This record gives sequence, C-alpha cells and structure tokens, in this order.
Amino acid sequence: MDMQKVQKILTDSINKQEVQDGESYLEFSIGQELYAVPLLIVKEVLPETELTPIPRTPKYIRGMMNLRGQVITVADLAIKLNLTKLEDTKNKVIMILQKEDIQMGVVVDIVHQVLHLTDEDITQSNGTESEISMQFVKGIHQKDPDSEVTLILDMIEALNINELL
Amino acid sequence: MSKTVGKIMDDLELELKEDFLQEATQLLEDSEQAFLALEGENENSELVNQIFRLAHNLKGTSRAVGFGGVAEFTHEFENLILKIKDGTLKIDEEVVSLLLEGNDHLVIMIKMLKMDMNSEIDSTDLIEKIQFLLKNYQQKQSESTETSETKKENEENNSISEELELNLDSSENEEPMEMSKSSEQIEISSEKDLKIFSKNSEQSVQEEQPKVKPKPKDDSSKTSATAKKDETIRVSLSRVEDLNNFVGELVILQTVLQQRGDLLVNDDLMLKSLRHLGKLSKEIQEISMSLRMVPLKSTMQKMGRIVRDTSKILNKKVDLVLEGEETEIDKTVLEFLSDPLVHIIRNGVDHGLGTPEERESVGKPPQGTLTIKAFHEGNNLVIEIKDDGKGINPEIIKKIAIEKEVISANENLTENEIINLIFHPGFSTKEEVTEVSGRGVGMDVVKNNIENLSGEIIVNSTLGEGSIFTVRLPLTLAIIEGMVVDSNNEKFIIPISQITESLRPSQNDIHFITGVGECLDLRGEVIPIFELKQVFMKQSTKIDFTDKTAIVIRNEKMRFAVVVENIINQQQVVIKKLGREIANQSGFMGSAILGDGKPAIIIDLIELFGASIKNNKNSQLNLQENM
Repeated sequence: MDMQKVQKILTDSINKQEVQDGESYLEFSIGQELYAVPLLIVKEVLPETELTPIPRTPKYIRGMMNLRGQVITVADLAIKLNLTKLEDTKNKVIMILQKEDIQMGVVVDIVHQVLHLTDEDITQSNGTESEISMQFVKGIHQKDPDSEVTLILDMIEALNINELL
Repeated sequence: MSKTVGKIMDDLELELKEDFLQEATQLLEDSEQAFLALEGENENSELVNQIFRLAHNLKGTSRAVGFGGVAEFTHEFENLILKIKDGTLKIDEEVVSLLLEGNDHLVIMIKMLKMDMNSEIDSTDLIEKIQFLLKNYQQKQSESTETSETKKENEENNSISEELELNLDSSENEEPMEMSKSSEQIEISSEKDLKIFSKNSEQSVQEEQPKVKPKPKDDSSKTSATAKKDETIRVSLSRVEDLNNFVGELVILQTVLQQRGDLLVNDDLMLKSLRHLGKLSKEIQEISMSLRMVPLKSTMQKMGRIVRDTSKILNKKVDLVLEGEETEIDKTVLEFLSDPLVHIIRNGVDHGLGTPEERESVGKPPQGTLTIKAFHEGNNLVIEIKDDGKGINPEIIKKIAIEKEVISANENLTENEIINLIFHPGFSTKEEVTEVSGRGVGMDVVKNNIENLSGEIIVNSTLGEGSIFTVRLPLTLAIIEGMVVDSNNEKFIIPISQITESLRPSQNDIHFITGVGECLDLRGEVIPIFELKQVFMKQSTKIDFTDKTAIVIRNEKMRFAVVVENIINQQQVVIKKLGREIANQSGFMGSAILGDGKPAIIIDLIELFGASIKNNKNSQLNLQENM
C-alpha cells in the first residue's frame, strides 16, 4: 500500500487527538476483516521488506529485519490468527509494535485509519461470528448496525508474547 | 544474599566517593573565590563564615566517604580558618597566600583522587607550615588572649575528637575499602588523631593487611592524565547502544554508496568525498565502540578487599600487587568478570598460598604475594592471577581425577593437562569445605562463566613456586570475528572462535557408522558430521557432499563437523540481540547485520549440535574412544 497514505493517516490522527476523548486505535485489515490495535503500541508503519527467515521458529514468525540497525522479529498476523485461506496480497505493510521492552513487527494487509473510541464505542465480544479465535479479541467496535465490525485485538495474547518469554 | 549486599555496599561506596569528588571540585572553586575576596577586606565576618562552612563541609564528607588524606588536611586547614573566624588571626597577605596554597593543594588532591581513588598525597609540609604560622601567632598574642584562647581551643578540640570518633565508628561498620590507607594515615596524623586511630589499628592488626601497591607505571600515567584534565560524564548504556546502532547503519550505507560510486560515478571529487566519508565513518564507528570500554581499575581494586577479607579469615599474610589497572574492557564483559575473578582469587589465597608458618618452613617470606596483571594482547584482554604459593601438585590432581572417574587410570596426560583438570565439572580438590572457597561451586563454574564470555582460562603451575591463572577474554562482546556461510541459500554467521578448520570433504572420507550416523574421516580421526540445513529443516536425508564445505568444531567435550554449502567470507560483525520472542531458541547467539544491510543469525554450533551429540550415547562412546 502507498506509504504516503499511511503517513497521512498517522499525521491526521495526531492533529485530531487533542479534541477527542477515549483512546486511539489503528484500524487495519487482513483479508476481508477489520482489526484495530491501540495506537499507543504502534511505533511505526513500514512497507513490507525482504525478511531473513529464522530457522526453528514457529511458522508465523516470518523472519527478521534491520530497522535502522536494530534487528526486529516480524510475525505474520494472518498465520498467527489462523487466517490461512487468504490469498497472498501484494504491498503489505509491517507495523512495528512496542510494548515495554518488547519490540516486534507484524505483517498486515492494509492500514485504514485511526479510530478514536471511548468505552461506549466498544462492546464485549460475545456472540459475534468471526474467523479468528475470540481469545485474541479484546472488544468489538461497530459504528452503526449496518457498518462493518472492527475487532480490537489483544496483541500480547495474539502474539503469544507472554508464552514466549 | 550477603554477597549481593556486599556488592551494593561497594557500589554505593564508590558512588558516594564519586559524588564527593564532584562536589569537592565545586566547593574548592567557591572557596578559592572566597579567599581571593578575603584579601581585599579585613573584616568580613559573612565571608569568613562562608569559608568556614566550606572547609567544615569538606572535612566532614571526606572523612565520611573514607578519604582520610583529604579529611586529615582539611582538619588542619579548618583550624587555621577557625582562628581567622575567632579574630585571633588577622588576615594579611601571608595568611591569604597560605589559604590559597592550601586550596591549591586540595584541588590537586581531589584531582588525583578522581583519577585514582587510592592515591595519596603527602600533606605534611603544608600542615607544618600551617601549624608553624598558628604557633607564631599564638606566641605573639599569648599575653593578651592566653586564657580565653586556650579555653576555646580545648572546647574545639573536644568537639573535633568527638566528631572523629563518630566518623570512625561509622567507617568501621562499613569496613572501609582502604584499610591500608588508614594505616598510612596513622603515620602522618597529628598526635591527637593518632590516639583516636590507635583504636582502629588494634582491631585490624596492621601486618595482616594486604597492601595494595600500584606499580610505578601508574605514576607516569597519573601525571600525564593530570596534564590532560580529562573530564567525564555519565551516559546510559542504552544511549551508547543506540549510537552504535546508528553508526553501524551509517557504515553500511557508506559501503553501499562506495560500491555504487565505484561502478557508476565518473566524478573525481565525488569519489574522493566518498572515500573520505568512508574513512570518517570508520573512525566514528571506532570511537562509538570505544565508548563502551571502561578501565578495569574498580574491579581490580575490589579484589584488594577480597584478598584482605579472605586472608584474614585464613590467617594468611598476603601482599596484593595490581598491574595494568588502566586496561580497558567492554562494560558488559566487565560486569560478568567480577564473579569468576573473585573465585580465582579466593581460591588462590585459600589453596595456593600457605600460612606464614608453612611458607617459612620452605624458606619463603611469610608474606605471600598475589599479582593481578591485566594487559591487552591483540583483540583480547588478558588477566593473569599469579601466586607464589605451593603450586598445584599434578600427582594429587591425577589421583583425585582417577578417584572421581574424571580420567581413567591408564590415560596418558602431560602435567599441564593434568593440572587443567581442576576445571573439569565435579572436580574439587578441597578435602574439607572451607568458609572461603567451599561454596559448592568449583573451578568448572569459573571456566563456564569465562567461556560464556567467549573467553578461556588456563592454569600453569610449578610445584613449590606457585600458579598462574590466565584468563583471556575478547575485548568486547559487541563485536566478534565471524565466518559468513551459506546454507540452503540463507546466510549464517559462525563465530571463528568455534571453528578449528574447514575443508572440502570427498565422498570417500564419509563413513556411515551404525548408531552414530555419518562420520567424517579426518586424517584418521573419525568424527560425527552433520548438515546445517538438516538441523534447521528437521529432516534427515543422506548428505550430498559434492562441492560442500565442512567446518570442524572441536573442544574438550566434543568434536564434530558441520556441512554448509559454502563459506562466503570472514568478517567482524557487531552482535545484535535477538528479540525476546526468539532469544530462547537454543543454538542462536544473536544476530548481526551484514554488509548488504540484511540481518543474519549468528549460530552457536556447539549449542546447536551439542545436544544431539550427547543424546546419542553411541556417538559419545565413539568420541570417548577417540579421545
């Protein structure tokens, strides 16, 4: 996807942030479904680059990359979330996520927008049908009854980070 | 537990001292200004009070952090200022000159201490000068002020003595690092101090204290450093690492530009600039890498304390000689170096050096000498710990080794090989567990620790003359010499330190041994051979050896060969941590960014294949036979 567009999404959010309540989320898609993660943990978004595979790691670990001198492991969220039926699209992006001292890259299809959501905007995940396991989903956002559903992901859970440590 | 507390105390002590030295520099600048101001005005009680506070402050803190020499001098200096404050001493040019002279002296003292916490400067001359001046004045004014003055002085003396005793108590509790220093203090102290300090020297019998003798070499470095006036700032390690990361990137970018430039650019100035840029970036990289280097001094001096404590418990007399304290090493290496060093030194004092009686019976001086010497050798730091003790008796080692089934009775080993068996896991010569080195950890732990730092340790010993432990460490853990290999079209880095040789085996050299698998006949020696690709792909097919390269790995526990497609090149690489997500993967040492800007895994072949060799009992038997 076009990096200039990504840049615009992120800068726009900064301008908007002052007037909004609640928390900001970055909305992206894998296949047909929409997902979001807290914007706070997104350090940057990069175009997909060639990765060095790491042997003897789970399949969802796509490899490692050089981010300005730092070696960062990149995971494929589609594989991790078991979305294996998807076609491989071109021009994916890598979101660099950082939580405390853990830094990891995550491959997703498209970055859409920054959402500013309050607690009322997010409902619990019971009863929703989704391709992915509900243990990774922290909440659900649906703007109005007809619009698409965005799943708010618990990245720590989704990437198994606690298990890996 | 108590060990960590001890470490914290040492760190705290050091930090306090560093803080004091910083503060003192400022105080002395202030007091110099005040002295100069004093010359102009004869009656300025505000100014004199300020000066008195400064001097008093300096005396109190220097005593508290354990800089006896400074406290000693400032005490005398304070007496002088007190007389001015009292009005018993009139301010004139002579007095101000003396004050300034004292101030200069303190500035030098602090400067020396900044460079070497144990440095001592003789203040006797100046103290005498001050006392002389005070005496002269007292005599002149004795008729008029005798009664009130002596009274006052007595009061003052009392309060000072109390303070000293208080400070002394606290310093006893925290076991001052420089015991040798306080004994030196005794010599230069005035009578009053001597009385108080004698209490101290009774407690810690003087002869038993090891004296830390810096080599004369140190003196020259001191003077040159004084001339340089090198100031330091503290920077967090993570910032230094960030800098290293960016500089690493800079060098890679520069290489890319240079290669492109050589191909495409026809402009002389451009090419010249590119080359210049290359030179500059290499230089910046060197500097940024050197930021991680710290002198061994603090660690070596800590050993003085260890020697003192250990020798006291064991009733031994030990002289500690430190050489090469200025030798620098990567901070991260230094952090892990302390524990193994402590162990070797404890061991040296415990097992190596005999008691004074034992030593005298063989015609040696009662005082044992332990020398810690550090120096650079190529890309390595070498630390030698030498004692002039009994030496290691290979006969005893051999006997124990056979008893403990470390070696078999008919094994043919050289004396040196036998002595180095003390590093074998589970080997311990101590018959009874002593308070000092009997902590359940043997020399094998030391060896492991050193090897974890990619270093090695060996021991040489001559019976009756003593032992030398030699620790060889890479200067930095941040850079290693690596061999870039190709396996299954991916690049991997293997640390050169693990590789003994590489060769192109022919199919004739490969034999299949049942229960072991494929083995390489290496000039008559049969060793297991693996393929890197297969370990990573978790499949086992027959290895096709056509046009492949075999890398031979050999240490005392195992020997084997690993097949890769090709060796690409050999280069220095900067080790990058792997993300925590994959850091637990065994067999990976880290990663590094290669010249093309792409990261590659650094493989620890011993860790990667060690497990499969150990799991295979047959191959282990096979190895034993070959050993």
